[in-house]
Order: sequence, then structure tokens, then C-alpha cells
Amino acid sequence: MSDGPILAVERLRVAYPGRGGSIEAVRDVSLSVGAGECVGIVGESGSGKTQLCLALMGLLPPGARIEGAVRFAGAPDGAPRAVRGERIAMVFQDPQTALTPHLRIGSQMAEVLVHHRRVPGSQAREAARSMLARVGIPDPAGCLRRYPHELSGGMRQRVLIAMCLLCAPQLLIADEPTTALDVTVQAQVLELLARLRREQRMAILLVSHDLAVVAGLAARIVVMYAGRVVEEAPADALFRSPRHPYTAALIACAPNADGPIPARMATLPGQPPGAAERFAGCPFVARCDRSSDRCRHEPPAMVTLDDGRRFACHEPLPA
Amino acid sequence: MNAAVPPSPLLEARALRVEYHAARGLVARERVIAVDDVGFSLEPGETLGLVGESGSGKSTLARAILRLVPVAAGEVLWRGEDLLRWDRRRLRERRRGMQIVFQDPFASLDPRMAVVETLEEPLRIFESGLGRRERRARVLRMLERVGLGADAMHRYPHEFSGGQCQRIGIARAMMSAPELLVCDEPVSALDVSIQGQIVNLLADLQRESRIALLFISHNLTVVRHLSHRVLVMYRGRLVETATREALFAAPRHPYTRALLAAVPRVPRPGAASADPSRAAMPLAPDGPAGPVVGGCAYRARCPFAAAICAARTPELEPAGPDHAVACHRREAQTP
Repeated sequence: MSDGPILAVERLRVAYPGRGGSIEAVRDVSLSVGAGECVGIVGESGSGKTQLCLALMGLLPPGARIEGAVRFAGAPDGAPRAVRGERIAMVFQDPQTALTPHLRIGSQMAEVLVHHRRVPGSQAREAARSMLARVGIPDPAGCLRRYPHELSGGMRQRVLIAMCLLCAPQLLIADEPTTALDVTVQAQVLELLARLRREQRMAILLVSHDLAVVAGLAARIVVMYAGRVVEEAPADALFRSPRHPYTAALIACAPNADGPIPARMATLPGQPPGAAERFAGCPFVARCDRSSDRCRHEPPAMVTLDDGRRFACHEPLPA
Repeated sequence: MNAAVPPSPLLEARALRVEYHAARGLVARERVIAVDDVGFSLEPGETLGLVGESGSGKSTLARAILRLVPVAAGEVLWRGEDLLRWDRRRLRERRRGMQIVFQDPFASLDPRMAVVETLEEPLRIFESGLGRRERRARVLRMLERVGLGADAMHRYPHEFSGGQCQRIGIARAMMSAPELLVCDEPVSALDVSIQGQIVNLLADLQRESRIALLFISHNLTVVRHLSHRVLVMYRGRLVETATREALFAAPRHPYTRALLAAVPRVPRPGAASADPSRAAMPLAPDGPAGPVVGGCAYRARCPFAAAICAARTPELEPAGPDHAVACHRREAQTP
């Protein structure tokens, strides 16, 4: 992966005007994704992960104030949305609401190619059919004639992924793509994403509140809290020795599928902070078991290590 | 020790069957069997996990035993009495003892009601003799039990996070001091980091009140932390029932094993990282949820399926102490 990142985000901020000052949804987020690489973004509800994705896609509502830079290889900075829709595609959490209910799958899929590539309708339908077959839909021709409500959740999510793939994007942003699905279907969708990354060298930005979902696919993991990046590391290093106490807590409270059953589930106390909350020091201080006085008053700066790891914490766990 | 007299179950379902008549086009109706020949029992103070995918009938089963959907056949015994025969008055009276917590913590609370009103409502219905002061005192005690403070009383659902709303939903269900709490996917809509808080809360409430829990989830790992016994459901039928220990140590039904293998895992120091059985789940049709007529409903996805699986519907048969499995091919699988 020496040909540079396909996506580079630098000091991205997303803020909304609100009563008593602006609400900062994303603060100073920098990250990069290489060609064919899968990067995971993990954080709780309200950590800013979805706002970040929408900013990358140029889909934020008009009121949003955006600062910083999003560079996509081969596209000029601030490229029109059409370019992003074609080269970067996004899969959303809820496969029900992401499809138009009154259009057949075939029409919705063909529209993507007609719009972005000016492909004739019949050719677009054929492309749609073969893409459905590739994502593992058993009767692709039949599926084209169906309406979204006639498909199960897993099928719908596969249709959406197929739709994203029609323009052969270089980057797929998948925001909680399996959260609404059953575990068996989740495993199938994750397997599909892994295969697409391998076979097409498609980069994936995989976003989830569940570390376990990201663990199997992402080579690198970015942990977000209160709109900020608090830690980033190669996946194996992150699980072996998390440095930020928040990362360690997320790992500890992931439920175990094997091994001895503890009397109580490990928990992360408290609630994630709201977007309007302001912090003099570290945003995690109220839920942290390692916090010192300094954490309350001074925001921790990002420390970057040689091995590509970085974290923002005054009292990091030992390496 | 009076081992000769088995404790009488709080709740017992026998050969329960629930049918829907789904629209098929404009005129035709199709009979869909959502729950088929399901039997189980639940002791006071016990947690029974009920696991299955969407469309497996697990929520329908839960609603059927609470009489929230009509039952086509079978019996549901509440302390030995068939609750399907209760008239409206008795049902209303007895509902006090059986409450439900829903999946979506926001949708299941009335957005226009302050927390104190939501929690007082069950008291107004079931204990209409209580004075205002006593009602307030009970609401306050319950808020503390579920880990919310007095300051929550006059706030509205939108002011709370998902986890806090679920605590309110649990508090509301607990207000009438039920003996049975049905929890329908109570943590599925929550962040993983918050799920443990709710699971521990339910365990605490159970310990303090000896309440029985029917805990429904599509996720086996959460069920594993809370349940004494587990029922696995597929397309409306029970395919495996076992104690928690037996089910997780030695699952016998291919579907149970596929479910377990499909759970994504966080790598931990010392734990085996790659799970060879994960490949066992074929990328098979999760297809139409319609009825499978005759034979084993899982056969289309089952790597062990044989001719007999299409010919005969497998019945639950003993597979060990307190362990039963409905599979013709259970001997064919190498554990």
C-alpha cells in the first residue's frame, strides 16, 4: 500500500449552531484510509461517527459548519457530490429506510448507473442482475422484480451493497451495516465485505459501536469518543494492549461467547456524553478509572508513536 | 428434601400454536404458522433464554403467553390455571403479575408523559386505593432500584439516553411487582458498552425479587450471561432446549452451532483467535419466512441434511440430562 492514502481527513470539524454556543459533533478528526485497506471506526452513540461519515459523503444538512480538509485521491478538494457518490459509496444502518419503498429493486439499481454513467437502461439492468449474483443473492433476476418489503433484512442489505458496487467505488463507507441484522446474516454480510475488499481492492471504512464486528475485518481501528479520536492502532496491537482507558473498557465489556461466564457482565459505567456537553479537560474523565486531577482541567494532546499508534490520554495504560 | 414433589412451575406452555392469516395479493389469505407445537416451563425466580432469528416466532411466542396475540391451539398454565380461558376481568387482574419490556426504549415510552406519570400509571390501574404520597414514594424507590435518581421524575423520555430509557421501561414493568417479566430483545437497540448495565440490572432485580424472566434475544452471548436454561427456536419450532452450561459447552443442533459460530468475537489474550467452526455456516438463503411444510425447516441450510429430514418433522428428544434436541442427524455430526 505504498501508493498513498485513498482518503485523507485532516482536522475535520463539524459543528451546528445551537442555543448557548455551537454544538461540536466532530472535533479535529484526522485519519486516512489506504487503497484496499479496511479501517474500523468504533464508538458509542453520539461519538460523532455517523456525522463523520456524512461529512465524508457531503451529506450533512445545510446548517452544519465544516472545517478542515477531506482529500480523496484523484478528486479535487470539495468535489461535487456526484463525484463522491460514484467513487465513494455508503451503506447505511437500516436497509429498510435506505431503499425507496414503491420502486422495484431493478429500477432503483439501474438508476444508479443511468445517473452516474449514462448507461442505457437495459444494460444497467443486466449490470444490476450480475451484481446481485456477486453479493450472493440466490435468484438475481427474480430479485430485480421485487419491491423492498418483499425481501428480508439481510437481502435488503445485500441489495444496498450491490447498489453501492455498481460504480466500482474505491471506498465503501459502511455505517453500522449489520446492526439491524441477525447474527447469522451479520456474519454473511461481513464475509461479503471481506471478500470484496480482497477481490477488488476496495477500501472500506467500517463503522460500528461493536468492537467485535470491526475486529474480524479491520486492519486498523480508530476509537472515537465525544466527537474526537481518542486512540488509533493496528487491530492486533489495539486488542493486545490498548493504551487509552476507554478502549480498554470497550474491550472488557464486549460479551464473551466462549470461556467461563462471569457472575456479572463487565460494564462501562455512566452514559456517553451528549453533543452539547463541554469539557475543560478529557471528555472521558467522568467514566474513567485512571483519571487524575490533570485530566479534569487539561485536554490531553494526541501522542503519536513510531509504530503508527496514537492516543490522547494523560494516564495511558502501559504498553 | 422433598425431592418427590417437584416444584410447580410459575408458567407452563403446552403444545402452543399461533397462526396468522397473511395477505397474499388482494383477496387470498395464506395461513402462516408462527409458533408450532411449543412447550416449556418456567419456575419462579428462573431465567429462561429464548433465542432465534427474526421471523423465528420468538416474539410471537412471548406475546402469546401474555395473551397479546390470539392462540390457535395449546395451553398456557399460570400456576396451574389455563390463562387462555380467563375472562377479561380476570386477565386484567392477573396481568399485574406478568409484565413485558420491549426492544425499542424510545418507542415504548409515551413521549408526552413525564417519568413519574409513566411509573404511576401501573399503580393507578392495579392499586387504585393508593394515595398520592404513597404512589410518589414507590416511584422514587423504584427509580433508585433501577439506578436513576429522584431528578429523573419530572423529565421526559427524549431527555434520556437509550440505556436510561430502557431503565425507565424496566421500572415501569416492575411497578406492579410482577412475578414474570418478559424481556423482548431488551438490549438489542443499545450500545454494547451499555448492554452489560441492563443485563446486570435485570440480574439484580431478579435476585432481590425472585422474579422469573423470559429473556428473548437473537444474540446468544447476552443470553449466556443471564439464563439458567435456554430455548432455541427456528421457524416457529423449538429445535434445542438445554441448561445454559450444556448448551454452550455442547450444542447439539446444527442451527444452534451455526448461531454460536456466527457471533463476532473480540480477540482476547489467551483465547483462540480463529474459530474453525465459523466456516460451517453456509452463505445460504436466509430466504422467505414462509412455512416449510413437513420435514425439518432447517434442512435447506443444514450441512448434514439427509432424505429423512425432508420426510419427517423431527421432535424434541432427550440428548442428555435436561437437554433435548430436534434433529434426525444429531449422530452424524462430529462434535
